[in-house]
This record gives sequence, structure tokens and C-alpha cells, in this order.
Amino acid sequence: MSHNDMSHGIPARELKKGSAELLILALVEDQPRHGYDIGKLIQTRSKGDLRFSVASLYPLLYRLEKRGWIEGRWMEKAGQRRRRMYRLTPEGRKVLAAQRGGWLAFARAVSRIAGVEI
Amino acid sequence: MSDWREALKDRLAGLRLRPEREAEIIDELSQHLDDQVQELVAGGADVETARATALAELDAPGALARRLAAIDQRPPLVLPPPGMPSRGRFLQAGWQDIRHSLRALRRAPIFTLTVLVTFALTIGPTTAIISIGNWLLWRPAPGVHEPQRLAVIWVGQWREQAGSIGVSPSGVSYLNLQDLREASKTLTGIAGIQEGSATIAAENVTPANGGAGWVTANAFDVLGVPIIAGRPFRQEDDREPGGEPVALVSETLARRAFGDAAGAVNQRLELNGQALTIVGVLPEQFAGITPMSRVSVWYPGATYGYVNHFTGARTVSRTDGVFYSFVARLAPGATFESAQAELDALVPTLAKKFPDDNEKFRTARARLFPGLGPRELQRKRYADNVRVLLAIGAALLLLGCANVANVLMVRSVRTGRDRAIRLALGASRVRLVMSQLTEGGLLAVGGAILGLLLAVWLKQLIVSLLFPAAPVGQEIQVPLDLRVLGLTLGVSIACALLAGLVPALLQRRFGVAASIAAGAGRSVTGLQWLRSGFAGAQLALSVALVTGSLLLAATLRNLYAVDLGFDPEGVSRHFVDPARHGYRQDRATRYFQDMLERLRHRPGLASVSISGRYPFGSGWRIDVQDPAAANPKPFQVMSNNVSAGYFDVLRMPFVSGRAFTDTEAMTPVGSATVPVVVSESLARRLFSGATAVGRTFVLPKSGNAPERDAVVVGVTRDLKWRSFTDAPPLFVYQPLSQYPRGDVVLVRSALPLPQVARIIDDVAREIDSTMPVSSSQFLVRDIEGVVSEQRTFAWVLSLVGWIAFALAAVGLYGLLAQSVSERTREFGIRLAIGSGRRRIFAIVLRQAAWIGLVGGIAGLALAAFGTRLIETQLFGVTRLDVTTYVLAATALVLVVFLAGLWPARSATRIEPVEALRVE
Repeated sequence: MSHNDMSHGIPARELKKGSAELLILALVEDQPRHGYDIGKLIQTRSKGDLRFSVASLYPLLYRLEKRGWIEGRWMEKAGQRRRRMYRLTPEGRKVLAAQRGGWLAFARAVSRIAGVEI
Repeated sequence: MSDWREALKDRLAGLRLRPEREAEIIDELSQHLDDQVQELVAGGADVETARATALAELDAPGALARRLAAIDQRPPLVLPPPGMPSRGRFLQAGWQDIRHSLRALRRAPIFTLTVLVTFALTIGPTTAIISIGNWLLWRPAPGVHEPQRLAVIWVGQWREQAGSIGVSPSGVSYLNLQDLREASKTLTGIAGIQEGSATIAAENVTPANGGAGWVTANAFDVLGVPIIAGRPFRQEDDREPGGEPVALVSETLARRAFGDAAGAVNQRLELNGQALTIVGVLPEQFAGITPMSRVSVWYPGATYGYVNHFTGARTVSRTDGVFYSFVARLAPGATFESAQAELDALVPTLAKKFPDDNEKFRTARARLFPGLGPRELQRKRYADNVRVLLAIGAALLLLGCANVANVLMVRSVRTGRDRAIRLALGASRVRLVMSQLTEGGLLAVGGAILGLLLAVWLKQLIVSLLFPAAPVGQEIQVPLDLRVLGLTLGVSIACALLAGLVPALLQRRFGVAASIAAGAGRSVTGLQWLRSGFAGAQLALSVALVTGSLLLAATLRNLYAVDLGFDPEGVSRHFVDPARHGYRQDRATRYFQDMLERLRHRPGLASVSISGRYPFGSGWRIDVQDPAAANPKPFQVMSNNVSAGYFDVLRMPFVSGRAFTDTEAMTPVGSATVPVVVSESLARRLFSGATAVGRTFVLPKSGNAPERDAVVVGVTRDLKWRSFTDAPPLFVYQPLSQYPRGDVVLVRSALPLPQVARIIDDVAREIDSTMPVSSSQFLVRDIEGVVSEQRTFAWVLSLVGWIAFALAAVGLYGLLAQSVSERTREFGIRLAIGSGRRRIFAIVLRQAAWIGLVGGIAGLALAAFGTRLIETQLFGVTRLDVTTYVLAATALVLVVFLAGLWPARSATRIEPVEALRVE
């Protein structure tokens, strides 16, 4: 991972730590997804600005799982290898709601102070 | 489809995951990697490159295993659900802070060690020094009611000398005491109290020497010490001519001998072989009126003659009294000054009313010493010394705290960036400050524990320096003062917390962005001047302290080089006291003969003697008279009564003549002539250079002893008797048999002291099982006792001085290292444009040298001024001794150089390219 992951000089790694949880929770909100899928979605939806490596994505998933915010289950489909699918738990849903609110407030505050339009 | 199993297993090894968990992770990650390779290949990459790219991601910064490990170790940061009690959250956060701090400290071992050692070296000595000072000066005798309203009064003929007070005590009779009590308006009670020792025995207690005191009946009333069983002394117990054979004992003795306090009442006790009945028990914590007291038996003053086997007829006398020191309590409204003024008026009236009996009170004076405490006569001198020690302790505490603060602040600035990021990510300020405080607190607690261990050890060491001559088995125990420990702990923790807090608060002021921008920690330039000044001040203080310690070391060297006129090395002294056990003159002489005879046959004892006194113990003066002189006026000389082996044990050389024979030493002298040995200077004074051996002079009548002729049989070299610095006294030695009481066994032996003590005690108990030996100690300890002040100061000053130097070195090092890191860019540019590395080295060392120079000059000036405080203790070296100052300055140069060396070297190793990239 390099500093080019995010624009404007704020170290990507640090910001990600805080926001990544939010991203993952949001991605599994509507439907269960497997790890590769999640990683891919983050990359494509951010138009390549955000990217997780294996070494950072899975530890994050496991951590969220350990906290009980998401739940992973092995799913098998005929003719395919089994995959571990993650879905949001009820507790995760609460956290997501809280973090969304917090993030919005933070982003608004930053934009107000820094004069940046979101 | 590739098999990632091996690659993943390698990276997960060391996590010690459960096998099934590991299999799951490998399975899941393999799948991910497969997907990734597929995608890359689809995008046109060849399989090998795709595989390598995927694998490289595994090893990206913050590699997989480490992150996974973090999950398994770190409890998840659970956002509290609404409504959860906040206390639990707080505790959980606190615990997390502690673990986080511990981990952070483990990662910075040098920093952690530096702070811990600084704390320990600060808290330890300071606690020890202040504990002892506090104990000596202000800790009132335990168990006493309102000791601040009490005073100790001594009555006698006074002489002042160099800070301490000398007194020849004048005993106050019961009749005189009664008059004083009745006349006094400022004192509600005046009680006689004397602490001494006696052989204590009871049914289950083998006879042994112990603390015994005699008091007037009202003593415990005046002191406010309650009786916990039985009854107090009554007036009729303490009535002249002879008091009742009754005693009060300490709870400790009561328990040891009779099971408990109540069980001791009405039991029998023996003091010096005389039976007494225990009438009451005093509480455990009261053992006398000084912190060093260890009195376990008290008896009425009027019973003194009985306990000590006095023979003369007992009468009610206005002249004689067994008390010369008293405890008195201030009346309401009275002050110590008004009480002293009243005493100064009252004592002369005793002489006026009874001019014949009270002649001594025309010149004697009652002096009042406010408060209770050890050695009231030297208290002023003690207080001055202790104050110097306390000042040193406080200075050390300040130094240490400032140093810790310094180190913590540098670190805090360095970690400021982390905090800024945490803040940006939404951590609350309170939490950040809390975690900062946690780190400081952990260090303070760790340092305090180390410091406490150090304090316990140092305290005993300093006590042994202060009281070197405490007898074997009765070493003085100073309790560690918990209040003092609390104080030093409090100050250290406060300074650690403050040091942690300041950067956090600064951050609040300057804002998050500034801290993030400050990056590698280049924002303390503003504090540079302050820190340089501080480093200089530290060096100055260290130089001053070390100068003082070097002066005292030179003093001790000079003192020990003084020729004492005898050889104390390997000689021990042991007390026996047959007279106080009721032995009359001839029986005592036989006892001594017997004892010497038995000791002679014990292996391991090179030589043995018995005498009335011993060097650096107490003195005894008598009059001598030269009948041939034009004016045969008697003059005073020191006297000692000795057995034949005395001069041999002490290795005192004879100038002419010989020592006593055994017969001379032991034969009771009925005749009017007595053989004597005299010192060189006395021989010169009496016979002005002519041969002394065989000549005669007069020992005038004194007390019960008639006038006798003394025949000189030998002349010895002069010897120092009580001090290194005073001129040797004129001395006359008489045969032991002339004065058989108050006696000392001197033994020269290579055996360890406890073994020698046991041999003497065994022999004493063989002869008389009721008369044990007491107070065994080496003569050199008595001699050290005379210079205990210098020894203690030398030790404490050098201890604190070198610690201060070490702290100063650490401080200076930190300062320079920080400054080098701040100037990385500058040095980089200098190097890039062609500066030599040697020049960079010099720049850093020059900075150190400037601080050292200013600190050194200030320190030497401080020393020149501060050594006034120890001037009276110096011997053979002046306060401004040039050699000493040069030595101290050399030490300073070395310390500054050592502190500067490392940062200077690291400055020369800066790579210009790297340095410029730091931005």
C-alpha cells in the first residue's frame, strides 16, 4: 500500500482504519458478500481511490466478526468451491447506523472548517 | 488453481492458531488469492507475475500475521450501546490504556529503563534521607500525649562549644524538685526521667542486659502515657529514703515473660539481681522519650539505690539527687520561653534559700529543650545537619522529577503525531489524555517500587553510618516513614503526570494539523533554551555536591591518618558491671582475676584486659599534684584503672619503664603508695624531661579515697582519647584493683565480633549466671561514631552528587540527541555542501561544552558558597581546596564529554540524501 491510495496527502492507512469499518458494514448491509467481493467493490465504487490488500482486508473482517458486528458462514453452491459469506448482524446494524451518523457529522464539520464542498 | 497453503502457513506460523481456525483462514485466503490471480491473468498478465503480485500483497506493510495477532490479543473496541453504565466503560478503557501503555513501554526499552532508574534513584535516596531526618528531629516519642507541649530539662554546669552543648550534670534532690514544682507556674508537671540499663531477669527470662529507667512517680502522668494493666506508680512508691521495690514494664516484656499484659501484674522481676514486683504495664509503643530508647522496665527514682546495690545509709538529703534530666509539660498559656525564664529565676533561689546544701545551684542552670527527641543537647547541631540533608534530598527530588519530565516530554512530542491521528479518527481528548497519564503513572509506580527497595536498603546504611557504635544485636531500626514515602511518591507521580499532560495540552492549543505536520517530532525548539538552562543547572548542582563530598572524603582520609597512639583495629569492648550487681571491692577483684584467667585459655583471643574506661568511650578525671613544684596546686588529668594486659591489647608503646605486673594490677592496695603508669606528656609536665620512672607524685584525697603517693613504673606514648583533633590528654593509669567498677573487657581477636561476644558472655555466665555481658562492639565503631557526621555527610553527598551527575548526563544527552534530530536537515545540507564530518562532530560537542562550561562555573561558585555548610566538619583541608575543585571540574568535563559523544557521533552519520528526504 502506498501513499497514492488516497489523494491530498492524508495518509490513507490512517484514515482507512477509521472509515474501513464503516465501508465494510455498509457493503454487507443488503446482502451477504465474500471477502474478495467486498475488496473488489470498495475498489470499483471508489473508482480505484481505495484499495485493500489481502493483508489488511481479512484481519479487518475477522475483527468485525469477533466484535459480533458481522457474521461469516461457509456457503456452498453446486459446482463451485465453498465460499465464506459475511452478513450484517443486528448489532452490526446498530453500529452502522451510529457510524453513519458520526461520519456525516464529522464530514460536515471538516467541510465547514476547511471550506471544502462535499 | 495454485496451492497457497505453504505460503500462507509460513505467514501464519507463530500465531499459534487453533488448527481448524488456521485451516479456515487458509481456505478463505487461498480463494481470495485465486480470484485475484484469475483477474490479473484475465487482464493480460502471465501466471507467474500474477502469483507474485498476489503474494507481495500478503507481505505489504503491517503484514498479515501481525494484524491477525493484534486481533487475537487486543480486546475489541466495542462501541458502547446506548444506556450502558459509563463506569464500566471507563474501567474498560482504563484497562485498555494500561495494556496499551505496557506494550508501548516494552517497545521503547531504553526510554523505559531511563525513566524507571531515574525514578528509583530519586525516590529511593530522598525517601531514605527524609525518613531519617524526620525520625531524628520531628518524630515524637510514640505513645506520648501531645509531645509538642513537652520539654526536656537538663540541670548542670554548662559550656558551649562549636554548635554542641556540654554539661556537667547536677543532680536535683527530691526536696529541691518539690520546691521547683510548687513554685513553677509555667509547667504543670516536672518529672524526673533517666534512661539507663540493667540486667533484667524473670521466671522465664534468662538474665540479660536491657533498657531500664528510673522515674519520679508522676512521670507517666506528665508524659500522658496510659497504663494498660495494673496501676501507675503512686507517690508512696517513690518516697525517700528508700522507695518501694516496684516496677512498670512494657507490654512487649510482659508478653514475652508472662504471656500478656494482665498476666504480668503482681509478678516478680529481677533487676541486677534485686527483686521487684510488677505493678503495671505500659503500652507497647512507648519505650522511652527518644526514638532510640528501648526501655522495658521502669522503677521509682527512690528505689535507685536498692536496684544498684548502694551501700551507704539511706537518708533524706537536699544535696544528693538521682535525677538531672526531667520532662515537663507546659501549663495552658505558657510558652517554652516563659518557662525557661521562670526556671532561670527559680534555680538560683534554691541556692539562696539553702546556701550550704545547694551551693552548686549558684552556678548550675536548668536548660529547657522544647519537644522530645534524641540527644537534645546536640539538637541544634543535629537540626542544622539534618536540614542540610533535607535540602539535599529535596534538591535530588526536584532534579529527578525535572529529568523525568524532560524525558517524558521529548517522548510525548515524538508520539504527538500518533495522538493527532487518533484524534482525527474520532478518539476523545479525554481518552487521549487518559492514555498519556496512564503511561506516566505506570512509570511512576514502577519507579516507586524500585525506589522503595532502594530506600529500605539505604536507610539502614545511613543509620549504620550515623550510629556506628550501636551494640551487636541492638542495631537501631528506623521505620520507613510512610508519610515521607507518600510525599516523594506523590511528587514524582505528579511530575510524571504533568509531564505527560503538558504536551497533550499544548497539542490542544496548536491543533491537530500542526501536530500531524510536525511529523517526526520537530516542534520543541521553543523549549530549547529552557532545557539548556535546566541541563546547566543540573550540572552546576552536581558539581557542587561532588565538591562537597570530595572535601569530606579528604577530611576522612586526613582524620584516619592521625596517629591515635594505640591500635584499635581488631579490638572489641564488652561491658560487665559487678559493682552494680552488689559486688564489693575484693569480690570484684577476684571476679576480674577469675575472668581474665578463664579468657586467657580460650582459643582465638590474642590478648585480653579489663579496665575502667576505654578510648573513645567515656572519660574520668582525677586530680594529681606535684609536691616538688614551687606551687603544688593540684591539676586535673584523665585517669583509667587497668589490668596488666591493657597496654598490650591496645598496642600502646612504652617510652620507658614497664606495664603493671598482674600482682600490681590485682592486689588491693592498703598501703599509702600506688604504682602508676603515666603518659609521656604528664611525665614531662611533672618531671620536666628528667627520667620519670621511679619518681613519685601525689594523688590528693578525693571522696572516700585518702591521699596516696603514686610511684611511676612506666611511661607510655600519648594517645587520643575522645577526638581525632583535640590534643592528647595528660594521663595516669592506676591498677584495676583501685577502682573496681564500671568495667570494660577489651579483647584483641581476629574472630568475628558475635563470636567474641559469645565467648565473653559464656565465661561471664560461668562465673555468675546472673551477670551477663552487654554492649559488645568494636573500638573502631566507637571511633567512627566520633566522625559519624563527616562519614554520613561524605556518603550522602557523594551518593547524591553522583546520582545528580548521572541525571545531568542523561538530561544533557537527551537535549543533544533531540537537538541533533531537529537539525538533521541542517546537518544534511552542511554535509551536502561539503562540511567535514569532523566539523559536524565539533558543532554538537561545542553545544555540550557551552552548557558544561556555564554549568561548571556556576557549580564551582555554588560549591565555594555552599561548602560553608560543612566547613566545621572539615579537617586538614580548607573549604576552597584547589585540588578538590580541580577534581570536581575534571569529573564535570568527563560527564559532559560522555553525554555529548553519542549524539555527536550520530550527527556525523547523517546521510545528506536521507536527511533531505525527511520532509
